[in-house]
Amino acid sequence: MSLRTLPLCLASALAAAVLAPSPAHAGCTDLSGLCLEPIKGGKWEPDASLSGKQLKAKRKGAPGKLSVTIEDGRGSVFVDGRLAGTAPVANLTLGPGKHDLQVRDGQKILAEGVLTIPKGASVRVVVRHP
Amino acid sequence: MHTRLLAAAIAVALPLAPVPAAAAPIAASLTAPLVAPLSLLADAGTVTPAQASGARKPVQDRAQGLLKAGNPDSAAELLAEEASKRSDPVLHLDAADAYKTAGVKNKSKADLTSGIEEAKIGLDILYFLQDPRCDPDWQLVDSSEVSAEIRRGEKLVEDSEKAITDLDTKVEAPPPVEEDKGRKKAPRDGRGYIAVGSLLTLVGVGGLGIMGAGLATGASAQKDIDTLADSLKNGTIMQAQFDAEKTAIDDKGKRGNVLTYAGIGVGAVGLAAGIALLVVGIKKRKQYRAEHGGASDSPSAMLLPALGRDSAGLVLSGRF
Repeated sequence: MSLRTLPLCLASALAAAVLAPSPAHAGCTDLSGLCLEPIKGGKWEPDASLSGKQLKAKRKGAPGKLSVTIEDGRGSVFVDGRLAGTAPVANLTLGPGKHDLQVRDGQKILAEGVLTIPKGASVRVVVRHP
Repeated sequence: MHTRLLAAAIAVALPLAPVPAAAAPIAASLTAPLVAPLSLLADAGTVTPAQASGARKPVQDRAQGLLKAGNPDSAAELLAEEASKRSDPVLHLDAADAYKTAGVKNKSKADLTSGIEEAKIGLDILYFLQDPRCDPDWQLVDSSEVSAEIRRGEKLVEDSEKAITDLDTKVEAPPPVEEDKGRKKAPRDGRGYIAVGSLLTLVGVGGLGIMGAGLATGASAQKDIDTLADSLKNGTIMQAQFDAEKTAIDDKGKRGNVLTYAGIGVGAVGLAAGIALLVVGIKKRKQYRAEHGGASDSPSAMLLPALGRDSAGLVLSGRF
């Protein structure tokens, strides 16, 4: 490889690295056990919980969608105090706003907290199975 | 497209019970339109243990009928489907039990695995029912029965996993090894030919020795008769003495001839057969080594001279 082509190759490699689509979740490393795909208005508050009044509050606006996957394991997803499904859960319709979320495998709680769903948004979360 | 429209229509017509997404991604994508909006789940109304039990009973009765008819597969499918519709942990455990029965009956790991997953879903719900995050209006099992159901679920998982292990063990079990009866067979590597060939060669060598002895006896007798004839010519001995000694020397010469002929015969036959067998044996051994390799216990033979004060001979030593 000549000295003229070397910078060109390096530039190409750099461009490829920048432009290549990064994997959605190369591995959830969040200490709470849940990784929220970045989305405007989306928020994850680990260990937080909602009061009964907050849970029963009417939700205004276009509903959003929630997808939950679990890395390297299984588990069931509970939203607002009830079973939403066994992972992977795809496109679960939820009203906008805060929702109580818990993911567990038997006795083991994989993640729990409050998840904010923006209006009309699709939110994807990945839960790490220890 | 028609299917999606139909599914949407069903979703509207269904009671507003929580419908879990299917476990498998494909099933999840197929049933996605059926998932009721969760904002509605919160308003789905109160579920008490008595209501859940009342809804569960007819399903259990139907499944029991199928089990009694010897059809655990259908019972398991029915229970799993209804459990999923109602998010009922007890039905999930019942389904696990039926899958376990079907798995043991059909020796099916797939059934046993399905049973484990059903039991685990049931356990997830049962543990969640004890969690403070659980909706107080969503009580599918009486709190006094939750612990017992958890124990039942864990035992189902344990039993199904054991059944899978048993199936694996039976599949992987090596065929019974036949006991080695009697003495181990010697490998067919030509060691027999070499042993017999060596023996016959030794006999042949012995025959040559006899032939040599016969020739020596004959030569000695010839020498004696020549000396005796010279003595008769010189007048040293009388004719009568000559005749008497000649007879004895003739007998000695005849004995030497017999020994010579016998030695020739034995030596020729022994050497011919022995060398032929040795050649065959060595060829077979080479072939055996080429096919099996190794030569740890290969046969060997040694022919050594043995000399003593009053004797001389050969010693054959070997391993065959």
